Amino acid sequence: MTELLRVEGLSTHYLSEGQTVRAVDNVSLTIRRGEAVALVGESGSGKSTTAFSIMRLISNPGRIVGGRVLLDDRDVLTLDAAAMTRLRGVEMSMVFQEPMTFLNPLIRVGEQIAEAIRIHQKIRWSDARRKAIETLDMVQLPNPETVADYYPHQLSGGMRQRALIAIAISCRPSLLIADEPTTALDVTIQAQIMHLLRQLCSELGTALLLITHNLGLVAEYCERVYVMYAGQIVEEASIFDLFESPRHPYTEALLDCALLFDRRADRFRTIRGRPPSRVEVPSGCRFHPRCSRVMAECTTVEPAVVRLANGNQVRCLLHE
Amino acid sequence: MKPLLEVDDLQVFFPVSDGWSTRDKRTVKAVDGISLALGEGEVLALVGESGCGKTTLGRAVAGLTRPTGGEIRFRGQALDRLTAEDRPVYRRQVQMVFQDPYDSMNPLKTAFQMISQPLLINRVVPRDELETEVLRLFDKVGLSPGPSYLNRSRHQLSGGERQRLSIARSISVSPSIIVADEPVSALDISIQGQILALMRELQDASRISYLFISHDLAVVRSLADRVMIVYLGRVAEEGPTEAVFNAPKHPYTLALLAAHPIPDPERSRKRRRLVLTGDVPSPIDPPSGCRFHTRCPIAEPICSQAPPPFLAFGDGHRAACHFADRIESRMEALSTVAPTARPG
Ligand SMILES: Nc1ncnc2c1ncn2[C@@H]1O[C@H](COP(=O)(O)OP(=O)(O)OP(=O)(O)O)[C@@H](O)[C@H]1O
Ligand SMILES: Nc1ncnc2c1ncn2[C@@H]1O[C@H](COP(=O)(O)OP(=O)(O)OP(=O)(O)O)[C@@H](O)[C@H]1O
Ligand code: SF4
Ligand code: SF4
Ligand SMILES: [Mg+2]
Ligand SMILES: [Mg+2]
Repeated sequence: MTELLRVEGLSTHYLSEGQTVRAVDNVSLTIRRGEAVALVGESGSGKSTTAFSIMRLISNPGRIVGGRVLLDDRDVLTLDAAAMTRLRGVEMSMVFQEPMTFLNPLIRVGEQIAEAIRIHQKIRWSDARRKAIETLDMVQLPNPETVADYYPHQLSGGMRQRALIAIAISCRPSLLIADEPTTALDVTIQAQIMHLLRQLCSELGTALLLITHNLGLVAEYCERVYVMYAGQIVEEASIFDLFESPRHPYTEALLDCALLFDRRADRFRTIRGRPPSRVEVPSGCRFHPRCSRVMAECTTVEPAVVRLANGNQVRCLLHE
Repeated sequence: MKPLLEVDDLQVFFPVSDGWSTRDKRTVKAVDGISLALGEGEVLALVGESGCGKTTLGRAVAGLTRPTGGEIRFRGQALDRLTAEDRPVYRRQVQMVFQDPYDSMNPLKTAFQMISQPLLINRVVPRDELETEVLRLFDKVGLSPGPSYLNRSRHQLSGGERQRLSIARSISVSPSIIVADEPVSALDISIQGQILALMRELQDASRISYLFISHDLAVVRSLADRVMIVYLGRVAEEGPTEAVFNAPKHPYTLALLAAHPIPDPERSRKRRRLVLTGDVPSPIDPPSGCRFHTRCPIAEPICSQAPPPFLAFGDGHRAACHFADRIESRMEALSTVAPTARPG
């Protein structure tokens, strides 16, 4: 598989009440064509900020302060506005957690999709509408002609998420970023949407970056995973390696916390403490105040990313 | 032993009011004939999809929503026949904990004020022992060091700390039942365990009973003694947790289990898939016969005609499906999506 996206040393900060929130700090990752990659981490670890930075959708008080985002070898961060508009939606697009925020409540669903298509393709309205209906059919909405005339509030949560996916894939992008696409949905609907996403991606050859805190979804639908903690990537591994033998103490602890529904847990596991504030980052390893395997040097030495023999990566002094 | 709480054929209907159709006489049948019993120190989990009536049932039990029909009895006494003096006693006995207590916390109040208020109103301790008691409760829910939390307001607490505070508030009046409505859903998994462990500890130490509302089957499996699977205002299946998880009898339970992600790539990719089609129908106009028939993979003509009776499987395990006694062979016959192999 050839490389599609390469993020190098990306840093994005927010200015909040005179303080700098280092939301994303020197993040690097790659995605190959057609691959399904997960980005996992606790709330506030910087997952969404990473996604928005890749899409170049960071606005005040946020600012991308460093790094490169290469999509097919073009640096997304230096493109002019017109080129960016052509890129966004056509080559990469995004699905969000709460579809209602991104659908216009006053415009019929079909029209919104047609509009998205017309931004990128100079075709007539009637053709755009036909394509919109085709797209609604692709996301398996029943009676796409009827649904096209609905307003967003007439759709259920699952249908809205399908409509949003329809908009995102309408131009057959090579990269689709899905930020917690099913968090607000029930498990049976979640299963429908995840199946749909995976099926569409393999049909269209689209690469998927799935952002989630649900380790179950990662295990089931992705091939490779990046684990994020306090703005940094702390581990990268293939799915099977990660779940079989996590290398970073944080990943290990996180997997320990996950409950399985097919067996009863005698004891509930947790990670002591909580993620650090992003204004005052702990010295040395950011995870050291919570790490069960902390060593003396962890409080002063910042671990570098180490590539392991099997190609996986980890940021921990135990592996240096 | 007589159960602490009994609910008989409970109905809670809401009038439909959607702005322009004010003369609409239809109702939302949020809870439509649910019965349950909760023993002392027992954890009963309510599971089901969004809108199936879990919160409504919980609120009715907590005395916050008036039932349309049926009866709720606490220690054998019917709720709607409680005297004016007994009503506040009941309110105190049954406490509710919400998904994210942020909204139910007054932004101007400190943690100390939030806990001391119910203590004062219910005259649990004299005024001069208030702070000692608040600190004792903080300690009990793991807010430590306690004194550092006394003056914090809601925005100075993390999600996990807010949930601990909300539990401290609910146990401050020594309730016998806590209705916990998705108490850990808003929390990161690294924090969830702390709250679940706390709830289990309180159950062991104080014999508190829980009506535990959750859509997370893994959490339910580990915490609940018994489970009730609800679909569109009615019970689909109920029974001891182990029986329901090990030998589910209702197609909806099977579908929920099949859809629930497993954080284990080997197993999650090997298991058989069962993806339900369609959405949950509206509770205003629920499907005839079995309410699940519009999505059920093994539905037959009888399903849309006759509501299924409960078939019993011993030890309180029962399921409302015409084919519950033949479920294994029926499901076996389905062509399920082929499992995906481990990539090369
Ligand atoms: N507009 C903003 N202004 C100030 N700080 C922000 C802003 N948006 C995000 N942050 C901060 O940046 C950090 C990373 O946030 P981000 O939303 O990327 O996390 P996340 O991993 O997506 O979390 P979640 O799982 O909760 O969605 C957090 O500390 C957050 O508080
Ligand atoms: N006060 C109300 N007025 C009108 N309808 C209501 C009211 N409260 C709840 N409903 C409706 O009753 C049904 C059951 O709602 P309820 O909140 O009990 O579901 P739930 O199972 O708790 O769902 P969720 O998992 O989303 O919390 C829904 O269709 C809801 O819209
Ligand atoms: S560097 Fe030290 S503190 Fe950080 S994860 Fe590794 S062992 Fe733990
Ligand atoms: S009664 Fe019929 S529709 Fe209902 S769950 Fe059983 S088989 Fe399915
Ligand atoms: Mg996010
Ligand atoms: Mg609810």
